[in-house]
Amino acid sequence: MTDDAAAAWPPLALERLSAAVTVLAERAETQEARAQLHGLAGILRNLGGEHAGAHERETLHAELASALAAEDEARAVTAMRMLARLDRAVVRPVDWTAASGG
Amino acid sequence: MADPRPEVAAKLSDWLRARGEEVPVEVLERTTVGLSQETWLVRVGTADAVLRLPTPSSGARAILSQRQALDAVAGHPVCAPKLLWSDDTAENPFERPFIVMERIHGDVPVGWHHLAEAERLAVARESMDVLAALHEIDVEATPLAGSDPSPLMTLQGLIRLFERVAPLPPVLEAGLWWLVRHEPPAPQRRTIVHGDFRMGNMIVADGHLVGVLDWEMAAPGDPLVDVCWNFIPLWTLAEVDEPPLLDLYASRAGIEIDPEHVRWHRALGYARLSYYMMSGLRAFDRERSDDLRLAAFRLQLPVLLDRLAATIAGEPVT
Repeated sequence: MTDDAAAAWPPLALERLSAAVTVLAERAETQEARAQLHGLAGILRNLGGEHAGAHERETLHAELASALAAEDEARAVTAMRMLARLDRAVVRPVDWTAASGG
Repeated sequence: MADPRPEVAAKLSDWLRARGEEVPVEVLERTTVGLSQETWLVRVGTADAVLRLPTPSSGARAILSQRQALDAVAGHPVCAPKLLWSDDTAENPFERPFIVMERIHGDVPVGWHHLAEAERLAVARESMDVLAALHEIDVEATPLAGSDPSPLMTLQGLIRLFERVAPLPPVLEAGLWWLVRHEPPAPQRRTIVHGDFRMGNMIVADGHLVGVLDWEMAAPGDPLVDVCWNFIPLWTLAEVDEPPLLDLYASRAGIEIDPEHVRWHRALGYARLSYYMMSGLRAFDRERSDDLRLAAFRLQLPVLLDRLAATIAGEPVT
């Protein structure tokens, strides 16, 4: 049995939903509505993605906390850099030009 | 909803009439629907002008400090709009302070990357000229002399602001820790600092920088705040070659710039942008705003923190 078969209704891909909201944004009449819908599209595209890489993140959190406690700057900067890279890597792009300008 | 423009025009007209100025006032449009200030494009007689009023969230101080700043820089080559009229009190038809300044025509690109490459370089160089001219003004001889810088412009101020939005992401905690450890000594030069000098607050026309807006954060401070904030990307990278521009500024200002101080101020800039994101997403989460873009700020936060970490690590920012 697949995950889909166990679902109460057919699952919806967030990427697909996000693309549809982007299309809707382009049809919105006001600049404000277009900007809001582009923002929503970005949120939908990333929904639930914040836990990606959780295990590696926990390890890096611990390493960073340890380095800060020891005031070991070189270790802290290395851990901070790796953690920041990991957190950024899981973000799917948001069209901020459209979201900020409509 | 009734068109508010006739009422705004009538109030400004009444105020002018009380001062003996009988001129027709027409309100063309409201340019922003935001939290910072009300901005109306108006025509007073034959002159195009801009009326700015405070909002409950900006407070009257935003208008008063802007009036002081425009007075302080008047006559200097810093592309500031000329102040036409102002009222620091609430004893007027608007029942709040206001300013009316000349309207400078042109585009307000939201980021440096919106300009074509050649235009971007030309405007970037002009922006450094403007900063050098601004920082040459004797701040002690201006109405801004006794002003305090915005907490957004100093590390200690930012740390206090971050306390309001704690807990902070670990990368940000570490970034602030690094900033504290490496804070440069107080600057030798105390100058007028614009405080939000960046594309988005600049008017560009025919390939040139013709206006600098939003002076409400201007205060005495470290000029490197402006110099480094100018190209810090909130969204998309500025795509300018910064070192020659810093050299240009240093040459115009007749100073030497320590690259380590520049790195520190850039890191401070990314921390400041991260605060914008955190306060915005908090406003959404706490139901103070239903603006979906504020909810989406949580997705830009990792981008800015990555840039903060790269800056601290001495790596290129992407």
